[in-house]
Amino acid sequence: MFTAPWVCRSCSRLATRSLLAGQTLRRRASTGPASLPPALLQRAHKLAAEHAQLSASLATDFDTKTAKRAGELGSVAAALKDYETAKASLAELNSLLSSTDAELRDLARDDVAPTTAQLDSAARRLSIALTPKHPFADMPCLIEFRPGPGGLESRFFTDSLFKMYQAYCTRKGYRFKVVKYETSDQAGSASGYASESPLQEAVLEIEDEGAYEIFRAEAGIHRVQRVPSTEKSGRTHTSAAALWVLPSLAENTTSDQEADFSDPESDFYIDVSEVKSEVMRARGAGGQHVNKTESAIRLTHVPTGIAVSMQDHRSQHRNREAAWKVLRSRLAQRRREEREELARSLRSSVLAKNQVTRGDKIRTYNYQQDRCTDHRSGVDVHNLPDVLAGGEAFERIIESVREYLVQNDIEAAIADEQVAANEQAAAEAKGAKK
Amino acid sequence: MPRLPPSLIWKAHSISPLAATLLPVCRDIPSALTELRWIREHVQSTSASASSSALDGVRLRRLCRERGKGVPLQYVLGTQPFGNLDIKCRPGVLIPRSEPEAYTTHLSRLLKTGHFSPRSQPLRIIDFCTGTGCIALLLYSNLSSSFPHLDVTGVDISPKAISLSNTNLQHNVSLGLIPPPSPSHSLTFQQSDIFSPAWLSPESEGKWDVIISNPPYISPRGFATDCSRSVRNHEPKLAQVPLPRPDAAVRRQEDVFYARLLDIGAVVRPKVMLFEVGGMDQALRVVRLVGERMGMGEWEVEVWRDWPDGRAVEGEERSVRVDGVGEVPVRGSGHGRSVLVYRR
Repeated sequence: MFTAPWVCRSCSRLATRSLLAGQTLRRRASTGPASLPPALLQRAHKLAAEHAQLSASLATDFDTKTAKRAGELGSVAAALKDYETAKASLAELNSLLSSTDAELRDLARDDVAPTTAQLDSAARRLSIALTPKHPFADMPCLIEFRPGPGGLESRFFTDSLFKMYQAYCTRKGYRFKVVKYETSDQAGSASGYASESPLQEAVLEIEDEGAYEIFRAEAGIHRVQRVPSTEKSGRTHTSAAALWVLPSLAENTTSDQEADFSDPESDFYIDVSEVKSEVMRARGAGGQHVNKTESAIRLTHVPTGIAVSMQDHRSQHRNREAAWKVLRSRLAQRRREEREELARSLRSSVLAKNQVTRGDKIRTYNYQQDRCTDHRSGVDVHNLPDVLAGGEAFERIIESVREYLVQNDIEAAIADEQVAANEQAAAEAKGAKK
Repeated sequence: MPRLPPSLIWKAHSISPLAATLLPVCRDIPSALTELRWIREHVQSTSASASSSALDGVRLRRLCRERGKGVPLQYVLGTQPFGNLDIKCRPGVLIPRSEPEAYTTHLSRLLKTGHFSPRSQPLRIIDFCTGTGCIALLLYSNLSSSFPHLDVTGVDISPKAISLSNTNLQHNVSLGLIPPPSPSHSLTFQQSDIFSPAWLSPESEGKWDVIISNPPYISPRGFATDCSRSVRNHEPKLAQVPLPRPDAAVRRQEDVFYARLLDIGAVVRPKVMLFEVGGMDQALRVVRLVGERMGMGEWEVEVWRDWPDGRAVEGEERSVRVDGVGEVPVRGSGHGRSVLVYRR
């Protein structure tokens, strides 16, 4: 097998691995079409049929609601069509492979690989189209930064994270603004790495539509391992920061979204009478007697106990608006999470392990090893300064997590379909027995 | 004022020497840091050129020193936000407070919902003692989209105030915060003494639908005891303490403007009047004055607190009995801040 008289085991494994990997790849590629479960295909056919019906009805009389639904289903119908075409041509090629004409056989053999790849990508596109889109996916978002336990060090690190996301948005050209940036005065003269401030709480708003979809995978606990600048004996500390990603309503509300927030059915709806609003009261007589500059405002949603305080801007008016915005977003996220929790408990327990809740640690930034690891996608990046500057390395991490999340959603959708199909089958079997 | 403990000054100094500069006027570290941030943002946003960071540093230190000596922040920075507007402030003109912001916003909400008069009719508003023009500007800003015809006039005795309020009009139009005045929506400022006889001429009857005013209402004694030092030393006394008038119909010097405003109201007969007052005692005196001068036959009276749309906290009465007037509703929470008079 080898020309060398002796090869160590690990080297021989390395040498043969690529060969084997190629084989498994080929094998998997040929079985690719079968990987799309029949339940999913069935659903795709059902939706495509509905799409055809809707398009037909749209041709005669136009209705915005129907048009919207048809638009949503359009991607499913198109993906299904691609999938069927690719499948049909593959079947044709397969029949040609058993042809008696040698030339034809060769031609067909050349075409098998690209067609299979086409079929794979069509299958993937179809499963993405069938995955229900996150209801907040098209919205702008708010990212909230909170230091975890770990005192000053975690506050300093939270500031680094905050700057990282700002830098990333600048690099990508997203429109963003700082809604809240509150530092603690506990630090005294201490300062963190690279002029970090002791952050107490911050809120960053990314105003681009669809920002929620881009950043929703960033929510969770971000862990840091480093030697704090305040540490005298050089021990590595571990501390953490929590990030929450909330949906937000676009600033220039279109009629659609405005209805969103005054509609009691909407996640963003808040009954004004349920909110307690507090302002800083002037000492003494108030009015012309004093000239206070405090403009802090605090809103409390009484039923849930969610409180938002805002004091960033000199204008009380702007502080109040910002506080309302954050309150609405927090409430919407909370309502959504409660519903997801309910849906998850109904779903088969197989998937439960894949769900990441906000309490889970999602990423580690290790300064000593110059490494950033995402615990969900398992991606390691070895250029921490570039990550913290929101550069290419950070983008690689974000992309890997989004990829992971899409895969997760597809699996969840497939599981849901299978559960539904099983239930239906069980019901039919029961009906047949009776 | 209690002395600042040296430990606090040291602590502020260790965070930033400039925070320690601001400490004498801010009194605690969080608000000193907040003001320092605002001053820094102001310096950065008005920086002459990007390269002159050394000059910016000098300017920042100068502004902080000025503020530390007690000059109001609004005079140091030159502006004060008021509702959605940006109001320029200059020494010699009273700085807009947050209470007028609250009651002006609340009043415009009531006017918009047609609480006092139908929205299809033209609305004419006069604001006496307008100062920076903030109340007139905010009413104009809030109402111009809801009324097909709106006419707002601001009046002040001080030429400085009139010049500043005109500047504020242009400033906010150029920022795009309010629409520029047009034939159907006008906003003008005029210099005039509220005590001049012209205001009582019979031809002003029915000329205005709304009279609003934040007049001087502090007694000479109150000015010495209740006003904060920064207000006493830097803001115009003319805007806070009425000058003594020998011909005044009321005994107390701090109430002379209300007597005059109600006399004008009796001639003009507007739909709504709203006057800022210095506290609950003064509010009740004004309510009694309404009863004496206008009669309660066709007028309703309310007292509004600092935040008229807020919830009353424990210990805040929802209504109060006034001799000769009856039960008067008290709305919102905070100190008694304004008196609303409207035609039933």
